[in-house]
Amino acid sequence: MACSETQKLVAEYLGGEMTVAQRTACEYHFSVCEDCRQAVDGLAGTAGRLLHWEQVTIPDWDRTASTAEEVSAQKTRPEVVPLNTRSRQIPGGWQSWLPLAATVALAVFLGWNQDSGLSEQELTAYLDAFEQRQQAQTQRIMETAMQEFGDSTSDSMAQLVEWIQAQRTADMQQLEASFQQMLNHDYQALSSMQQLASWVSTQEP
Amino acid sequence: MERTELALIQRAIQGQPDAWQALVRTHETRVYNFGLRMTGSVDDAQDLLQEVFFSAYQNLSGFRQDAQFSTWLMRIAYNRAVDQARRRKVRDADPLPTSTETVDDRPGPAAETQSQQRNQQLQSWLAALPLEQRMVIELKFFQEMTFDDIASLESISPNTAKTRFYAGLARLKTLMGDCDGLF
Ligand SMILES: [Zn+2]
Repeated sequence: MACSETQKLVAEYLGGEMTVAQRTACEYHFSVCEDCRQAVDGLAGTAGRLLHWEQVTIPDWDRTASTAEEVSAQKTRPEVVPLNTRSRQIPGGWQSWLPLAATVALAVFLGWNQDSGLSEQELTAYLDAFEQRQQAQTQRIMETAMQEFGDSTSDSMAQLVEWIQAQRTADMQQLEASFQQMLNHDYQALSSMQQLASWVSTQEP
Repeated sequence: MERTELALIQRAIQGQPDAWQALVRTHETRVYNFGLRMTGSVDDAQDLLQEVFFSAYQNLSGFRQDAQFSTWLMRIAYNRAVDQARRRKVRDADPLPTSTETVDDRPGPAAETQSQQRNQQLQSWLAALPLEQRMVIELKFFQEMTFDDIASLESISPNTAKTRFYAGLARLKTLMGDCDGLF
């Protein structure tokens, strides 16, 4: 296109934001610029057709669903379920779920808000790697515990294992709830790692 | 913002279901029609509607009362629509439907009205646009936003918004071609 102003002028003209003086100036330019005249003539009809849209009334729907937390969360966001399933598989936690949650929040935030972002596969791979790290960590802690409690009875060992399991379950539930809340949250408003971390940490499961 | 709406929001935050439902009724048609044009599908538009109001309800206490509720809600609708499109992209690894068959899969009445046919035709044209162009066309023509507001909502420059708007219209013009007497 020879005229460098065509896109901008035609967009502004058809976008309907011009003052009368601006419109007049613009129309004068169109009268002397073949490129712009052709563009605006063609696209004005296109824009006009869009205005034939007729408002559709909604078929009956459940207006109360938006206030029912759990059901709605599952029903309206089916694609996040696999993510929660994954988080359920993350072993251990050991108070370290918070940085993880913030990191994943950031990953989701970046991935789902940028065209060239993180894919679901990459996110899954990330969570897999995390899972392996956690397993190794849990193993190390268990080994340390074995050494420390080596002389103890099998009863106290069983209690320790029970305690670890309880910790895991509690952390997992907290992590899951935070994920769900985070995904339901309008997370485009969260703009930094710090914000995400503090947001996740202040959410009550 | 109208005092009554502000009162409704305050009552909804306090957990009064009637107040929330009244708010939903006021804005649901706009959100639903936005969804129909953005997704090209009745099912997806209904999902989007649920998601938008779910998210709005969850975040209601964060609504700044000096802002317009409708603007705030459209921001959520925008985010949810982009999110839904991305999730669908991951799910289907396939662009939006471009054939009219997928646009409205409800068993319609025997004789569709001309306005229904026109809407379906428009939906299928819009569905053939890249999301970023469809969004700017939607926000400009149907939500009547300024380029500056669109730019701010989408975190792009006003010039990018104008370029997308122009490119979207040009693409639509090609798609429309010489269409029949519907319009
Ligand atoms: Zn020109």
